[in-house]
Amino acid sequence: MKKVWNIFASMKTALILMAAIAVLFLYGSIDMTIVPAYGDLTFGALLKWMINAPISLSFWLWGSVGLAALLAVSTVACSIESLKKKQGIMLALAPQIIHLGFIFIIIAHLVSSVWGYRMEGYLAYGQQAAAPFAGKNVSVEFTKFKSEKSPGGATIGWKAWLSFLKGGTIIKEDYMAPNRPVFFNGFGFYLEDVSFKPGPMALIEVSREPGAAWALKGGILFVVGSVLLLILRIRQE
Amino acid sequence: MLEPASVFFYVIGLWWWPALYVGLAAQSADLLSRGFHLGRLPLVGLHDTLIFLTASIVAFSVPFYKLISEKRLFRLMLAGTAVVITFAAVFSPPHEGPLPALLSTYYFEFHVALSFFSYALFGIGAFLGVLYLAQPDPVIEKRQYKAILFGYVLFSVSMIIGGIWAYYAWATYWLWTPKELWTSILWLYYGFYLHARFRPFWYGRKAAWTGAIGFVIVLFTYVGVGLLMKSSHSF
Repeated sequence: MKKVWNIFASMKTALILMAAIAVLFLYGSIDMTIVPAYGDLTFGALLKWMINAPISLSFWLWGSVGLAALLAVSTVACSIESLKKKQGIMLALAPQIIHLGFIFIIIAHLVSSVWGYRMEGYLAYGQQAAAPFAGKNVSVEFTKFKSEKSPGGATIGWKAWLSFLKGGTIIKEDYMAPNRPVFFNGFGFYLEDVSFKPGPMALIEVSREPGAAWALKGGILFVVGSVLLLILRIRQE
Repeated sequence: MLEPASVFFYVIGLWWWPALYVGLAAQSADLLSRGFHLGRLPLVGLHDTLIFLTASIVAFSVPFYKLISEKRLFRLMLAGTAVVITFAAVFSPPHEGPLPALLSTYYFEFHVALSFFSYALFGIGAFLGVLYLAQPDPVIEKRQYKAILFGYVLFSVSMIIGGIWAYYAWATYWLWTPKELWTSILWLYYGFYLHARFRPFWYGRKAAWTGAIGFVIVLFTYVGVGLLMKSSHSF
């Protein structure tokens, strides 16, 4: 057990894992450019895609997930070992804050890859559709549309209003626009596109990213730790 | 007019350091005038980003230049890089007209500006790495580490801002495209460097080499992926 712990607590292990993940990503980036079957990889939960895709296509992703999990364990072990050493408290803490942020980011990807949800579809003006909230009996209606013009008259953006209804009563009303989704019940409603033939229609993407909050917290911790480390290294000199 | 002027002064900068300041001033004026003309930060397309990258490299080099003793080789690398990149920018058509709706956000501007600041610092890290290989002075190696660490912090902030923006724009903070994979490769690579440097086996020449080679990955992530691979960041 001690031997296994030492392997994970070794920086050499972390370095090998980082290099191996980078190599798999390199392979993946080239394969993605050649093989069209990756087109729907971003659309949906990663785990579902990985299970359904042929192993010849997904092996590098399975490998990356496995190695990232090992790297997360190695990060925790390195942090514990590092904290045992006698050194300045802040200099000891800064890398651990970065490590914690990294772990959060790994958790974020894991959570989103398992419980993430994405679908898209056209909703015609005035049409109602069932919202994807299990057991809530909520429907969503595209109620209003507005285009935004530049001073030169070119269309530069759109706004599309959605109403959420339960038992015929509006429980929420808001508009979607580029970079401005409507959030409701843990789901985001995104305006992807609009079309006017045969009538006004909005292409709406509905998404749930349960890892987003973890990713944000992880990112903030990562940056706070990095800035602290940078300041300490500058002051050290 | 300002773009050829900046190339001209960067060429003079190969021999005379103050000319780099003039080149930087010309390039900054060019960026400002384009910014006023377009009503936004000029950060879209190869032309504008190449100029922004060059100006960032030269601007961030100033404090490092003042702190190192071997100035000639550093100046040659810096001015040479500035000439080549600005020259490439002159021959790339600029992106005119209004931004697509999804790019009209401060997230985009911060994400791109911070990315290029970090690329600039990684570039300076590469120059300092070459300098250390030519003249193994531990002070230069420390400067290289700091340039890369500073670049890594900015790069991480840029990625986080990019993730927040993507969450609002594309319904996910992460897209599985070659650009994101190469960004991760870059992040892992410099993470590798920042850790490996503390190992006695790696410290010194190997670390200097690692830091220097990183800039090749930076350039591929920036230009190569955009031109050669299908991605969310194509030019």
